[in-house]
Amino acid sequence: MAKQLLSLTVNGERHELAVDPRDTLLRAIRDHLGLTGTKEGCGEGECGSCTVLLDGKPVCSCIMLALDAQGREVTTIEGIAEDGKLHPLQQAFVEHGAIQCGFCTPGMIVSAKALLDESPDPTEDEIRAAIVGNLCRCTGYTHIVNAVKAAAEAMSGR
Amino acid sequence: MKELAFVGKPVSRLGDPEKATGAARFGADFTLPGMLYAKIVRSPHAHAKILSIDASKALALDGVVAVATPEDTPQKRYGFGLGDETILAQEKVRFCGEAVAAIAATDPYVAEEALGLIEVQYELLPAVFDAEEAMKPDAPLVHDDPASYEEGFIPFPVEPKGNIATHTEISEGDVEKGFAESDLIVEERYSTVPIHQSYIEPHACLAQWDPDGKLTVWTCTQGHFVMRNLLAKALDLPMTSINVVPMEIGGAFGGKIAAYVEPIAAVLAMKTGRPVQIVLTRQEELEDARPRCATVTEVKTGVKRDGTLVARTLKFIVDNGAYTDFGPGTAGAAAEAGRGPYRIPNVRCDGYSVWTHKFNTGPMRAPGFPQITFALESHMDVIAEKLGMDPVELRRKNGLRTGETTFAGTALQKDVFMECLDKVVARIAEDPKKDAPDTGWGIGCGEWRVGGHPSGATLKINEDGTASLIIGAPDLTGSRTSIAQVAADELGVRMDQLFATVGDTDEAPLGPVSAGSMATYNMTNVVRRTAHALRQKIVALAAERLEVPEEDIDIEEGVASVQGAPDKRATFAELVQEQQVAITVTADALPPTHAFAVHGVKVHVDRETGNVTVLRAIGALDCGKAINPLSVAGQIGGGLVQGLGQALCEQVVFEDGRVASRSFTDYKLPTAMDVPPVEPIIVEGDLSTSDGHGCKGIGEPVHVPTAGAVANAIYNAVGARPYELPMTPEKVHWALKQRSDT
Repeated sequence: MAKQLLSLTVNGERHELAVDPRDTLLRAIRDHLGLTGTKEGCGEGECGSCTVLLDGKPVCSCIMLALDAQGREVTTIEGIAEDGKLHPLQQAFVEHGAIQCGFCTPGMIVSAKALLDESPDPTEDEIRAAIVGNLCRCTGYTHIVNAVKAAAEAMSGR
Repeated sequence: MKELAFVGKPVSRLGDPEKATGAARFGADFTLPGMLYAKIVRSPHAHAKILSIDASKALALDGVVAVATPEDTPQKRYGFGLGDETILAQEKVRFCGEAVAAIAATDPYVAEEALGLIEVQYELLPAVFDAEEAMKPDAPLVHDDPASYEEGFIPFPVEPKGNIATHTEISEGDVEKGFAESDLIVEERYSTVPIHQSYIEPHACLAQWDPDGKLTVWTCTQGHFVMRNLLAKALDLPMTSINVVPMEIGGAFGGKIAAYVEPIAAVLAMKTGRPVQIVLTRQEELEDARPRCATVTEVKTGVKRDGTLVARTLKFIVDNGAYTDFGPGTAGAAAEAGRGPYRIPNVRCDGYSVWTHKFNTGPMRAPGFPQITFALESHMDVIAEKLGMDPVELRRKNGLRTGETTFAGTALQKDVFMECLDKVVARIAEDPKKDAPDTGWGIGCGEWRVGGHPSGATLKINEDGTASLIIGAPDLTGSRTSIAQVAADELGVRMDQLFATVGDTDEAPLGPVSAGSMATYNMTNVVRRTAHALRQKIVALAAERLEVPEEDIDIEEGVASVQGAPDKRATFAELVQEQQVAITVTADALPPTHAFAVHGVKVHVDRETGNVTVLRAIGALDCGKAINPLSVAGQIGGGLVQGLGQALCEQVVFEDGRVASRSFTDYKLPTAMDVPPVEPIIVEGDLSTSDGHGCKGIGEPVHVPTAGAVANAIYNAVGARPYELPMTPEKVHWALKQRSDT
């Protein structure tokens, strides 16, 4: 199939990529841009490990065509840290034992960031609802929820 | 004794920042120039002779570089319990989904398209899909001549009778006499279904064959030494020709030990002379991986009126699937643990591992134990009710105490089983809402035997005084960090002055597979010895340089100083200027150790729909010594939630000769909204013999008793007891209906 040109902004940088029209956004991010932090866990939009922010909203990049991101802004896990320092969410995940194998972690952090951007002071139920589309098989979610709460507190200066 | 700076503290894990930023590299995260993408051609039939394979149309497709068929593979058999597997099916297929051929292409779309162009002719054969049917003498045979097979990797004594691969028999005392002396005999049957480890990272590997005859395989593996061993057998190569590099691994739970993807990648790499990547789809994971086997438990227990358990017979059948893998170990170990953590003088337990024409099964997180414990702990509550006794009192009466011997052969030094039970019960008693309608708490008690494994470690002081530790056990569960904590404390450096790496099979000393909860148990033992030996060397060098006796030397934070004269000091960097200080220590396998776990689960049951909501979950673990309490709490949480999945919603559905579950829509995993926060209780004090401060294995016991606790909670909530896992709303609804009909 003939390749088509995709222009998009990823983590603040503009890119022009020649993609196969069948390429998903996930494939464009991983294979074309070498940003392998975003993962493929199921290829069907069910595990959430491919979560990225599209114009600030969390989406499953494995079930979205790359060309549908034409002219848009994507934020991946690599774009979450600020000025070379861990984002409070990343710091909280490390401190609260919220990372075991680490495979769900990028998608989990991106979903949590989307939540805190909308709701800086979420309840436990709201946190669990925000990450319901991010499957974790290792942690049982307890430490992840604790980490998101702690990050929310740190970010609001409480 | 000087207080330990790192052991026993909730130290943040090595490698976590990389995982938080997405920098950590997993099996699918890197490519090599010229890399090809591979896809596997699979049998659509459960049992059939392969008559012919025609790859000509696929090879004619632009972008297809090679097709591997069985002729391209060495005719060697290999495997875990028995050497019965081949890289691609030889002459016949034994399950729907078995690998028959493989394609390597320049891009994944071409590889996918080529799958449909390989033409395989089959002659169908009769098949058997139920383990109990397969045990009958006239059942179609899965393996015609298993006596001709090689020994397996483990190897388990396999003496097949028809489709019964192994029969483990445990017999003690006199069960007939015991039943005759019993006041009550309870006989029941429980069953469980296959469930998948469902690691979020699908299998991913990359194989490269150098022209000078060296194969390098980068892969997600729990045990790269096991992988090297199996590859050497499968490919008929010496181990020096193979280097296995363990990547970060996105979950495993037992499913990433066997070699069934890597040999195919290796064959294609050798055939094409180019690097070959294979990443399985989620559908392939459900169809041809190594999930937990389905089981049947038939148990008959004799008990006295006062609750003393007297006699038990037990039959445990493992539906093993087409090839042996860990079936014998699963059935055998569960039979050995057929008493549960209780004192029963007269027992006869029979464990069977049975071949069927279905997908392979493999070890999953305490193989055999979550299944048998669901049965045995449900059974305990049934016995208690028939005796008119509190189920906790029944367990107190029969539970193992200080001085008694566990099934693993260890003698309890402390009443840790009772301590776990008491703490869970005390937490439940504090619940002001424990008697709410249609709500109930349930308890499950379990145990696990942790094996020993020979291991080694290399520790060296670098020219700047920092320390590098190289080990050979993949970091599956944070073991690398716990091991580093032990090393840092023993050597006398800070955590930031020491770096622990998991080396590949060429570089690292042999390490245990990170399975069976063996990693921290065995590795902290050898690493502490290694760090101790290196510390002795440093002390000797310092004593010579500072001209004092060795007993006067103190080591702290990478500096050697003289007691009472702290200005007389030498840094590690100064001490290693003249000579390199490095050491490799190996250790024999430790004897097995043993751990108890007690879970308390509170549920609400909707009487109309049968839906079970888990309201609270408590997990107590007897861990000897918690090297990293944050890690231990994390394991308790993860293991218990996996247990909830097994109890309530997970099932690999098999219908019409094939796996019907195709994705996470079909195969339901617990989400963040399905489970409560897990409340961990860490119980220490019954130390193992590991020089790693007496720690035991963590990863598996934490997953053993959950399903039993949930079953008992459901019964306590609404008086209905399902006898099959998973306890879906449908099953609970029918159990409720049955109860109200009778």
